[in-house]
Amino acid sequence: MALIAGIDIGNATTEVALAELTADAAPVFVASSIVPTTGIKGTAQNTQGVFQALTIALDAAGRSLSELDLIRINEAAPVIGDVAMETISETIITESTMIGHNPTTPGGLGIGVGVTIGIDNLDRAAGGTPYIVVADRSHTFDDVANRINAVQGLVEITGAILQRDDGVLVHNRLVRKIPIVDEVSLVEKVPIGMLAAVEVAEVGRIIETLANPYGIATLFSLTSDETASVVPMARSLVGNRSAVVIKTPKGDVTERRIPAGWLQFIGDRTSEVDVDRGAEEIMRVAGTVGQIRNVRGEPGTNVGGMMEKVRVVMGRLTDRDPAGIEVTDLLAVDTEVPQKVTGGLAGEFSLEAAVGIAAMVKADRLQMQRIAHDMTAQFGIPVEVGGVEADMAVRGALTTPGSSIPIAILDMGAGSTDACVLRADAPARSIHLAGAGNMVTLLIQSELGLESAEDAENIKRYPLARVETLFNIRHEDGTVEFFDAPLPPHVFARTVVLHPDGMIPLPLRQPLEVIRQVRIKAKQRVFVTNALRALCAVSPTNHVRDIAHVVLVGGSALDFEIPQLVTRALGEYRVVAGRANIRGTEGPRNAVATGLVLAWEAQR
Amino acid sequence: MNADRPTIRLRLNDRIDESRIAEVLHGIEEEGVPVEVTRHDQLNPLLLAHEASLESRLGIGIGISLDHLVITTEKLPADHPYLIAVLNQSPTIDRRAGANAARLVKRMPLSDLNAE
Repeated sequence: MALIAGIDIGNATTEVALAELTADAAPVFVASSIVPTTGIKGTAQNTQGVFQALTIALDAAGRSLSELDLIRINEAAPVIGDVAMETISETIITESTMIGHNPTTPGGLGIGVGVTIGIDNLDRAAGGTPYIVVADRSHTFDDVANRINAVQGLVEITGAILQRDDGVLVHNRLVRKIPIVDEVSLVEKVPIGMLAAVEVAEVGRIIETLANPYGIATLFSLTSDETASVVPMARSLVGNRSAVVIKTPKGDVTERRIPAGWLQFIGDRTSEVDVDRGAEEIMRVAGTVGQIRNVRGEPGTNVGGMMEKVRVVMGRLTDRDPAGIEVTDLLAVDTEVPQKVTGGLAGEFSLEAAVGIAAMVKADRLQMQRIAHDMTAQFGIPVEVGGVEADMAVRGALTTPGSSIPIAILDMGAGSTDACVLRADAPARSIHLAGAGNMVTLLIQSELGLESAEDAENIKRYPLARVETLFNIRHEDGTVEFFDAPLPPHVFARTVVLHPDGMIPLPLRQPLEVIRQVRIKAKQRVFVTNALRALCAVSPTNHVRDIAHVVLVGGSALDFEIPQLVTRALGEYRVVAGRANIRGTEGPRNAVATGLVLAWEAQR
Repeated sequence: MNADRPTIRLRLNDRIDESRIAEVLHGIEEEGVPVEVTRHDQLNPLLLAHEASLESRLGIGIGISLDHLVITTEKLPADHPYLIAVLNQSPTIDRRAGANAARLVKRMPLSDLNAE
C-alpha cells in the first residue's frame, strides 16, 4: 500500500489530494486541502504553501508526513499575475479653459455669461459689463453674498465660481439669483479678465448649452473654425450638472492619442500590430501567426516597457536571463479608464481609451524539476513532476459523476485559462492561454478607477446591494432584505459588496447598475473570449461547435456568475457546458491534484 | 409656523447659545433641506434628539445639549441614536453633522464625523 499526494500549485491556490493506493484496487482518496499559493506559481517560494497544504491534508487523514511515499506536483505554466494596462488616449486642458465637474450641491440655476473678476476687485468694476465673480477659500458664504448684494444695481453679476462647498448658502442669501459652481479646488488658476460662461442645470438634469458646440458658439460669438475647435470641450462636459467655459486667447481642450508602440508576434510567421488599433486588431493579428513562440514590444514605447517588465519579473522569479523569457500567449482587452484631466481645475476625470494585456510565459520544466528537487531535500520524500497540467485536470474532471470520454475541460484559474480535449482514439490536446481571474480584477479596478485591488477583488467575487434605509438593503436583482438592527452609518445609502464577513461600502459614486455591468463585462471579455479561443484550439476540427461536452474546473468556476456566462456563450454553439464535481465531493476544485494521483496509478 | 411642513427638527437646550449651532444649520441648508429649531429645558441630548425626530415629518431629529450633538431617526429608541458628535469640535465637523442629518433625509452617503 502506498500513500500518495497530488499537489496542484496554482496562481492563486495550492491544492492537495491525498490517496491510498493498493495493488489491483482503485485509489482511495482520504483527504483534500486548499491554501493560498505562496509566491508566484512555479517559483521556489511555493514550497512553504505546499508544506502547509500537505500538513492540513495529513492532519485531516490522521497521518504523518513520514508515512507519505510520494508527492507529485504539476508542471506549472507560470503566468504573470500582474497584468498591465496602457492608456492610449489623453485629454489635456491648456490655459484653464473649462471646469466640468459634479459638485453635489451647486447653487442657482440657468446660464450666465460675463468677464471673470476676483471678488476683492468688485468695487472697482465698471458698470455696463456683465461679470462672473471668482472667490477663493478665504471668503465665507456671508462675505461672498454681502459683496455681491452690495454692488446690486451698480454692477451686473451673472454667475459665480467658488472654491468652498458653499453654492447653495450663497444662493440663498443673494437678492438677485445667479448660477454658482462650487468646490473648484484650483480656483486660483481661473484666468481673470476673460469672457466666461457658467451653467447649472436643475436637480436631476444635465447641462445643455455648454455641452453643445453651437451653444458655446452662440454665447461667445464664435466663427465656424472656432466652433470646430470647441467640440472636444463640449464633449467632455456632457453628463455634468454644472460647468464653466472660459474663452482665453490660446486655450484649448485636446484629446491626444498616445503612441503606444507596436507588438510583434513571432510564430510560424512574424507579424506586427499597432497597439493603438485596439484589442480586436491585436487578437486578430495574434491569430494569424500560427503557434506563438514569442511576443515583443517596440523598444522605447509604453508597450515595449510593459513587455520588458513582464520579462524582468519572470526572469527574477525563475532565476533566468530576462532576454531568454518567451511570451507564448497574450490576451488584449479594450477598456476605458477614468483618468484625471491634465490641466483640470476641479479634479475632473475623463474616460480614456486603454488596452489591458495579460501575457503568459512558457513553462520551464527544469524550473519545476528544481522545485521538486528542493522539496525532496526538505521533506525527505520523493517529489516528482507529474505532467502537463491540463492533462491532469482532464483525468481529475472525469471523476465528475455523469462525465465520460470524449470530454473537454476548461480550467479557469486566476492566471491562465487552460483547455484540454480527451478522446478515446487520440492523444489529449491541450492549450494554456493568458488571461483569467486576475485580469478580471485588473479590468474592474481600472474601469471603476478604484485605488485598491482589494475592492476590485471583492466586486469580482460577491454580489452588490444598495443600502436603502437604516433597516433594509436592495440586492442587485431587485429583491429587498430587512434587518432588525440599524445598518451602520458608514454604509448608509451606499453601494456595498455582500462579503461573507459583512457589507463592504464602495468608495464609488456610480450607480449600482453601472458597477454591476463593469463586473459582468470584465468577466465576459476575459472568460468568454478565452473559453472560445481555448476550445477552438483543442477542437479536432478547430471549431468550437465540434466539442459536445465541456466540464468547467478551476477556482474561477466557483464564481457566482462566470460559469453561467460561459455556459450561455457556449450554448450558442450548441455545446453543453457545466461545472465539474470532482470525485463527486470537491466541486470544480482539486481536479489537477486528483488527476496527478490517478495518472500515477495509470502509469503502473 | 405650519406644523405640517416637512422639516428636520432641531431641539436645542436653553443654555446653548444660538451662535454655536450656526455651522450645523449651514450644513443642512447647503444640502437644501428645511429645518426648524426649538428651545427646551431638557438637558439630555438623547431625549432632545428622540423627541425632535418624533416631531419631524421627515422622521429626522437633532438634539443639542451639554456639548453634544445627537442625530437620530423616529425608528430608533432614545438610548440608541444613529450619529453622535462633540459640538463645536471644529466648524468642519459641525457643518458635516448638519449635512449628514440632511443626507439621511435625502438618502445620500454620509461623511465621517470622526475624521477631520
